[in-house]
Amino acid sequence: MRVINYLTISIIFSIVLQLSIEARPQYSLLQTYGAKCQSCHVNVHGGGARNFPGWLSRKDITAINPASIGIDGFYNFISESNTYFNDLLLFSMDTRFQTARWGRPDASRRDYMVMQVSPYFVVQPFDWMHIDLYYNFAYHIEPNKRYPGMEYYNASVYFTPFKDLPSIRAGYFQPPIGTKWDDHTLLVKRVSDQGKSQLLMPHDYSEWGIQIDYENIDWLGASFGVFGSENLSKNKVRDYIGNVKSMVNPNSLSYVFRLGVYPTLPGGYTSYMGGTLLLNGGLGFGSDGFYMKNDYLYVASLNFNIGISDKIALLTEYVTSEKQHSFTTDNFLIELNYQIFDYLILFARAERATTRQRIIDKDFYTNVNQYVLGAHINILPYIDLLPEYRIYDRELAPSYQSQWAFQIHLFY
Amino acid sequence: MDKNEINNNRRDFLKKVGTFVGVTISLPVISSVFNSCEQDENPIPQPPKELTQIDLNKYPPINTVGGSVKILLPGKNNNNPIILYRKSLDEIIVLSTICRHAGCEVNLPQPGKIELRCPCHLVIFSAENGDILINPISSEWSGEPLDKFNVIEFDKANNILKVEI
Repeated sequence: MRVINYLTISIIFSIVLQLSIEARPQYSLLQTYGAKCQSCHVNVHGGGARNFPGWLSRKDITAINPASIGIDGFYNFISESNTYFNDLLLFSMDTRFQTARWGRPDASRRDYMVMQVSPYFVVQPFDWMHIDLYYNFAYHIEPNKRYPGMEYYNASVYFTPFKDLPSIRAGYFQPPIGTKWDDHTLLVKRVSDQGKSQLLMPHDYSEWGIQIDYENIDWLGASFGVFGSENLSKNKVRDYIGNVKSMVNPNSLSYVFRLGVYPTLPGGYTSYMGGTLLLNGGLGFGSDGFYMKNDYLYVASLNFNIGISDKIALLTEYVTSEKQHSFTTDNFLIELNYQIFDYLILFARAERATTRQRIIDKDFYTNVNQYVLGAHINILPYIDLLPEYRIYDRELAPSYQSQWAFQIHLFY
Repeated sequence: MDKNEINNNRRDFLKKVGTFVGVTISLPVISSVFNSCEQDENPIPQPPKELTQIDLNKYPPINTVGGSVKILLPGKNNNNPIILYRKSLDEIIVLSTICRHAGCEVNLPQPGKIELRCPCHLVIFSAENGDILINPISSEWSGEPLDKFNVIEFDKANNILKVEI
């Protein structure tokens, strides 16, 4: 009987495996391992491979005790550790299968999608160096459901030659832009438009780059990176006279700054706040001081988050951006999470996105609102179900679009 | 095997059969809940179409057969550009640039070609009528042509096009 149960679980895993680097920032407030992303992830900006504490923090969270259905042997087998060979290798994984309505808000259809089948490998041959590898096989299963600039892999090397000094990350990886979420539909990362919402930053976005991270003080995190623009340039925008052009010049450099503050609060309260800035295009210096050279793009994000561990997480983010001669955006998000049990978290999210587009000599404004009610249900260890009810409302269009969405998330 | 063990096995078996039947029966219910409370938004109301005059002298590529150009008319076509395509000396086709799959903007055809390619999912439309020529995503989208606008008059002498848009 146990063999059959193991087989069932293996089939469930493999079906979904047949079927992105994402993060759930609410966990940084709800768990007690520390609010920094690095408390649970290898990446200082969150998402991707979970380190040992990150893996430990979720491994026993479950609605159903595996022993009660006779599959504890399977879980005992995979629950020793996520590190192997004396910490030389760390293995982590995310797989997401989703059903939702896709397409224009006035003519959508239900679809089923393999979003992510991603193993992560972190190899640490020396104390002062580790290599982070990620590959999303779902891009080969569903190549038609991707947008320009999205990337299915990244690889980078972290160097920490001295414990008290900043570490250096180099390679092909995602710059730290805004809060990292596991939802690709968030308006804060979009340029809302009358027809569709265009991506501001492609999801699973990666570029060649180098980044310095400073995480040595408990209450502070900071990064500065310089990145290429090849993938960002695949994202197209329209300028004020109607020409379609690249979001940025593919040969230009993007400069990315991140600052996070993680105060220690009494009484179980948790909090973090901070911001990021991406600047593409050169800075000039004239008689009036510094100025941004022509054709610039900037994306600035501010976040403030507060919670009570094991109870509540309130997340907010404001993202503003401008592509010169094309658009400006002002997007805002607020999300409240309420943990009923450790395996059941209810959440409600509201977003508002405003885009100003200059067309020849007139400004056109688009306002879009999105509301999501949902739950994270850890039905078994490493298996998270995510039912959601979504409302999407363009203010120019009468009525609104509403839908159920459902995601199965396997993680390790 | 003693009597208790047989009873336990039978109980276990009945429990599992009951669970299986219960789940099977509830699937259609779950599916109907899943599709309830769902609706699409109404299309954005378009201003009434009006006769718009386009001076083709401003766009030299359109003066040769097979030539094409994208132009932006503020307030028209949801503020998205339109495509003018010279099908013959006497006929100019006017199309929206917006693919109705995900709302991406199609590219102009290569010189001498009629294929308008959507860069997002590589659907190819005909510049001669907006119809789909190749739909590589037919499994997920049955396809809709590009919006085509009515040409009311083409004044060849003055190179002026009157379009209902």
